[in-house]
Amino acid sequence: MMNVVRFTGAYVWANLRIALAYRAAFFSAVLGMVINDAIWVVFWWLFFTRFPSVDGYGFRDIVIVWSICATAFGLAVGLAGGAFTLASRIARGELDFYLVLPKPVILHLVVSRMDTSGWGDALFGVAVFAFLASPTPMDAVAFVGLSLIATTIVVSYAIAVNSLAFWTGRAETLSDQLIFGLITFATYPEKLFTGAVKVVLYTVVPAGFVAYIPVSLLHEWDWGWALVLLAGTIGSISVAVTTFTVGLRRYQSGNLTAMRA
Amino acid sequence: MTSVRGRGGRGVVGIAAYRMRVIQAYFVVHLRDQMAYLGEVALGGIILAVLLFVLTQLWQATFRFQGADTLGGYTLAQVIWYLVLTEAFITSRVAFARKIDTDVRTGDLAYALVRPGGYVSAHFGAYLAERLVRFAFALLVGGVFALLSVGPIPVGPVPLLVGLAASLVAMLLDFVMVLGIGLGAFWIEDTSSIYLIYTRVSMILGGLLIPIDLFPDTVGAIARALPFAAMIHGPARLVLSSGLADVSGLFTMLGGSLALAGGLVWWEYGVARRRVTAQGG
Amino acid sequence: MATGMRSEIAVSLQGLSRTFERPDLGVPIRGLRRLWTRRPTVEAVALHPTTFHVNAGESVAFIGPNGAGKSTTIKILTGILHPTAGMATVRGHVPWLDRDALSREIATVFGQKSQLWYHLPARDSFTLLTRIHDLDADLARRRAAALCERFGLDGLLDRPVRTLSLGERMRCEVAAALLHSPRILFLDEPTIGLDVIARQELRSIIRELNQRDGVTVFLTSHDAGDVERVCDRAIVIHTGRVVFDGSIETLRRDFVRRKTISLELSSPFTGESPIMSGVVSTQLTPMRWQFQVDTTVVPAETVLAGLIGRMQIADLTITDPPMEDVIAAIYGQASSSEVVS
Repeated sequence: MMNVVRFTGAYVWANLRIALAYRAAFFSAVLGMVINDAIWVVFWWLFFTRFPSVDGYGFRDIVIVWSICATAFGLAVGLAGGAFTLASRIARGELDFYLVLPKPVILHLVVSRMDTSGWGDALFGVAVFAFLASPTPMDAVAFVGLSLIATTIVVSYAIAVNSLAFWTGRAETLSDQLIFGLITFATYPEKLFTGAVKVVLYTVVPAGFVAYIPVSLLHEWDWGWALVLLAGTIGSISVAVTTFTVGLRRYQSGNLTAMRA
Repeated sequence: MTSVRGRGGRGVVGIAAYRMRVIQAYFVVHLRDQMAYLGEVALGGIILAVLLFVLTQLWQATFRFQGADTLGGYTLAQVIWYLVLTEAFITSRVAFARKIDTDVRTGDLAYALVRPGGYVSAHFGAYLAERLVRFAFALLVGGVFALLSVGPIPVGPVPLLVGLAASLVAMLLDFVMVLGIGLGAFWIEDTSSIYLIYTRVSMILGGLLIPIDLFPDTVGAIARALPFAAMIHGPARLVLSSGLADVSGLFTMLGGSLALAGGLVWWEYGVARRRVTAQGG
Repeated sequence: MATGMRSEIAVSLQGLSRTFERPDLGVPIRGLRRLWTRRPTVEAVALHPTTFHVNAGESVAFIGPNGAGKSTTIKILTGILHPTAGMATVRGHVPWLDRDALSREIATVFGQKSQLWYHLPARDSFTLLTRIHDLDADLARRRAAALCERFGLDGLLDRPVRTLSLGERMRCEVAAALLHSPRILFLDEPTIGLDVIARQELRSIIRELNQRDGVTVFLTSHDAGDVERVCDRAIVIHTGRVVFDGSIETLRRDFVRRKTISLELSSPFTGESPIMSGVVSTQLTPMRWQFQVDTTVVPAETVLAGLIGRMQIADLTITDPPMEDVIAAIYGQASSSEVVS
């Protein structure tokens, strides 16, 4: 266990140093993402200025949603950026390097890349929560824990959809779309979605576990829902690991030559 | 903008006609290119459908909660069709600022300027091809979505055509501004942040997700003073309205912005060319 | 050969084979039909059932033209690819079943793909590798220092890898690969793009690793010099089949059809150049002559006997043709399906 922690730590540290070797690009990526996220908050501010509350839902509520989502996605692409470039690396046969080394391939692939823009997201998320949501110390603790859980689910989702590259050549575009879909649904109020769509959002596209449940837990802690969140986290990790493992077996059986050729 | 030497002194009209032919040539080539990637374009429709779906849910809830038939003069159906039009304009954007930036930074610009046909014309032809294909596709996807969710709305043929014309002018303006950003690579370390700010600010102040008529007064005034509203909000509103009330204002804003931006970028391009040829690339 | 070498088998293949299903590109599928039609597949044999063994401490060259099945074989032996049939063991492990255990005993070095972290100093790559292989930090540091001294890497380790010359980088790559003390080293085109001196340095490093440390070397290369200077044994593969497996000398001897006799004379020979069938003579200077002998027509010794009688020879050398010619001859012969072992 300690070995895994040391291993991950060494990689994160190395990735940071690589990123800082190109300081201008690093800050530009961070700034860019902060601007990008800020625009969305401006949109919601405009909206809620005109319509102060829609069915009891107001500006502060969407701010909390954004703080969790931005932090979760930021940490996901920052610490586990390899999960998001998996599809293209599979297509280019870059897995071979990791197959000859002793660490679990999926872990290694995931920590080996860092998208520096993620730090802009995370910075934004934390700042917005600290300054716009007026949190109490308990809120802050809950925020940190829930964000980390949301991060885990986002990473698992990214691994699962990127692993589709083991089966289709269109996986890069497809996984971009699916990740965009998750972000979009997660950053809108849960109440907007009902019926079949809601079922989807608690299963295939887990916006419910990334955003809805964490946000409701931040408003009011409930042990029942906390357990559901935990189950969802374990479930999404299982799906990710299973999808990748089955896909990797397919890769090693050489059945991807149609794409590799 | 290409050298006029050796053209037999054809004069301004001759050069313009020549440039048109260049644009057309690049347009046709890139059009065929776009068709080859229809599969990828189709997948891009998923993102648009998701966005429109989520926004529709939002506005339906808003209308329901406000208990009103119209908000800011728009019915729900009109808001949805408004979103279809503005989203079509935005999602069809072609991000070629990076290409220009790279050309400048690597010095390829020097080679490109020597190539016959004109650097700008070539890029414009390519831009137009990609832009129009994606615009048409986005209108198709958005249109189908809107038909299924809120049904058709009455649209006068004249406002429709005029609105489309305004969109085309807006696309030209967008091209000029993005070209200007890309050329900024001569002076600015990182143009991608500038480009990002441009896209984001135009989305907000252009009324992408909320019609500007629903903005708070001060923000609305700021938005109307800027060209983005004329590029995104203006044409959409024109198509949806029953008359041509604001046409002159819209085209004045578009035309004026085009003249201003065009002048600035022409000057910028001239400076860039001089720097490139002086330094030998 | 390393002292105390047991004839322990390092790599063993038994009837190992690999086929792929390739899309049949012969039939064009037009237009929209592309969206729903599945291309028919055709079977392509990358490796026919192959059997050979490599003993611990051997230095083997794995030669073959592109597409011959070299990379397929290496990928199977390093655990990346599963075979379609047959068996293989590397240091007693089945590569595709025991990847974890195998990874501690083998290392790979690619001439065309760097395994070091490009933007960081090489020393940082060593640190990462220490964590990847779960090595004891102190031991790893000492080993890195020893490798650094042995390969002449002083001062290079603290510069970003992207600032190193190709030769310097390749030496760092080999050092990095050896950090976890693997018993088998797989090298793929390690000297590609290197200048003469860098190539020699790298070759002698690999040779030393094999002879002094007993590391089994499995080298893939198109460079004949690599093959000759680093390896004792050559396995030549062509269209998925092993067409030669033997020592480098045997390779040359059996496929050499020409030998070059170079003579340094003690007094100039100005007479008629001797005419013998199967011999092409070239006068470089009146004191230096060269004779290309086609040994299928006449043995080199016979030619030499004839020359000794006629010229005052101060010094003579008999050289073999370059490895490229030898290999080309093997490929040529392989296409008429002759197998030599």
